[in-house]
Amino acid sequence: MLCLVLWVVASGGAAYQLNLRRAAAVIPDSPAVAAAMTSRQPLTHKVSVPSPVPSVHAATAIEMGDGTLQAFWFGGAREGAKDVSIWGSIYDGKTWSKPAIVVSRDTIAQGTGRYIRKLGNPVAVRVGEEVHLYVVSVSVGGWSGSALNRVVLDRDWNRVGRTGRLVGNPLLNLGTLIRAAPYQLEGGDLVFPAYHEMMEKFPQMLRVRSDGRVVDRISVPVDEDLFQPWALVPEAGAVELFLRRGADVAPEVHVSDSRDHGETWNEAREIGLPNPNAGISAVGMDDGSVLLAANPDEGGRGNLTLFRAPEITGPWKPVYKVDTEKREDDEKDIEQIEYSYPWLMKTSDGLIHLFYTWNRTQIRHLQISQQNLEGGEQ
Amino acid sequence: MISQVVSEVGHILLTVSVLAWLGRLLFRSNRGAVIGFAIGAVLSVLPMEYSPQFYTRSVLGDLSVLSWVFLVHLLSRSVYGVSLISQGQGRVISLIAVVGGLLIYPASLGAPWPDFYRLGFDSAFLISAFAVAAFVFIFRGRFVVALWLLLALTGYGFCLLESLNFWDCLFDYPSFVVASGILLRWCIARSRRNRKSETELKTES
Repeated sequence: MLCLVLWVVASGGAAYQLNLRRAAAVIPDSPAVAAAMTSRQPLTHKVSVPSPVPSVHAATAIEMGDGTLQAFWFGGAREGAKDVSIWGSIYDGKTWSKPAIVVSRDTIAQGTGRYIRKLGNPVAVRVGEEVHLYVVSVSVGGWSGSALNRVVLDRDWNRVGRTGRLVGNPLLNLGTLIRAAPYQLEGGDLVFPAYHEMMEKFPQMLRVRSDGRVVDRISVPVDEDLFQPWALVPEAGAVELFLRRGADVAPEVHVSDSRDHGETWNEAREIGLPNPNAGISAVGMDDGSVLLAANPDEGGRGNLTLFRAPEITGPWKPVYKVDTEKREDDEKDIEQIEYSYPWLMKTSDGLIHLFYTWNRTQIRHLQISQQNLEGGEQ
Repeated sequence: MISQVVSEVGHILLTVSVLAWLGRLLFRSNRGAVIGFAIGAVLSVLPMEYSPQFYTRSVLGDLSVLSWVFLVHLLSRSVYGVSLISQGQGRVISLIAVVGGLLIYPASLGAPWPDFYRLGFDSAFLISAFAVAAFVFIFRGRFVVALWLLLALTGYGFCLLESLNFWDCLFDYPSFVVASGILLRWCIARSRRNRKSETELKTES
């Protein structure tokens, strides 16, 4: 309680003004997309969020109270470069605003009083009209030396609260990463499907209090090399976890589930969907079925497809091919095609939104109605 | 926020203690330790990105109460030549820290081992056990051990560290390594002593 009071006092005094212009702009990537964008309520609508930097990855998105979407991702010269920052853009239902830097290395270094060498995956959470950005950072070494930070912003991305470090590991607090959306418990705490990458890769559920401090950590018992979990909460107390399998073993999406708020977990099992060590994402549909975005082709990330199943164990049916290895005009010079790191979400109007990395150079946004995902490959 | 202040003060203590110890080692005098301390103090008030704690905090994280105890002991020994922790109490502290580390670190690295670290988040049993242990140590006259445990309980109770886990208040990885070194040194010295006395007995007989 004392901590909470002190935090409220400190955050009020530490308000930091970061003026970002939200100029409305859109860069259509093809005439077809441009045509789709002119429609007011398209059934499907695919658009590239314009990127002013050469390399982008790992998009996250939230819906604000007024129905606008805010997307965030990391971008810079290349993944792991010192100039990588967290970029953001706002979608008003028609166009994406010109992206702006929301959080930089310096933001987190100054906020936490620690040297930061590079930034990684962001995960955005909407709390009232605030945006809480949880960002992976590395001070020493590679991604296995990651730690988590929280930056609190208002809806215009001015820093309004204390930037803090989350402590998820007693061993120098290294090796904890996140990539998936958290779910909220009744008391308001968030549970992040996190994962550990130092020495062994394995999933962990991090319970985070409203002041951004970790209050519990549950390791999910899995076989070797299952990580980067994505959680669904079909009903109170039940948690379903999709897991990505590493490259060295049979690459297939696995699931594990818990019926007691994540206290105990059933053994992780394959669901019959091949996945070449690539990020996955899932969302619950209105009829109780599950939609999953995955790269099903072994040996590459050149095919991103949406699958749907009545329950997590399947049977999984491909319902929408988002992007395939069939090269388009603007991809002819690209050596290796990559459509990766999907982020699926459902907005209050029932639309499904998919964000993904397009050849590491763009973040793409696909908006699709649930009726368009009824079945049959498209 | 108070946890940030506590963390920064801990790392300033780390800087001045280590530099004081190095000063004593180099100049073999208290004056060397004082010079080291002074250099550490000056470095600590430099702008954030030039200060050592900007880097040590990013690598080591928040220091636990045990690190503070070890650093105060090191500083006192370097500057004043006074040991605050007796060898016996040092061994008890080290034993508790090493056993604790062996309980919590394997599962944190993914080893098939019960996750005792989780107990530190909100376990009345763990907190009560350490509170009782602190009072036992007071009655047995091991005041430094008791002080360590009581300060860790206070830090946990008032959320003085970024972590809300009791284990992180009690000890951290650097102090676990130091404690392991103390125990190892004691074990080696003891086995040498035993061997020596066995040899002496054989010679006498």
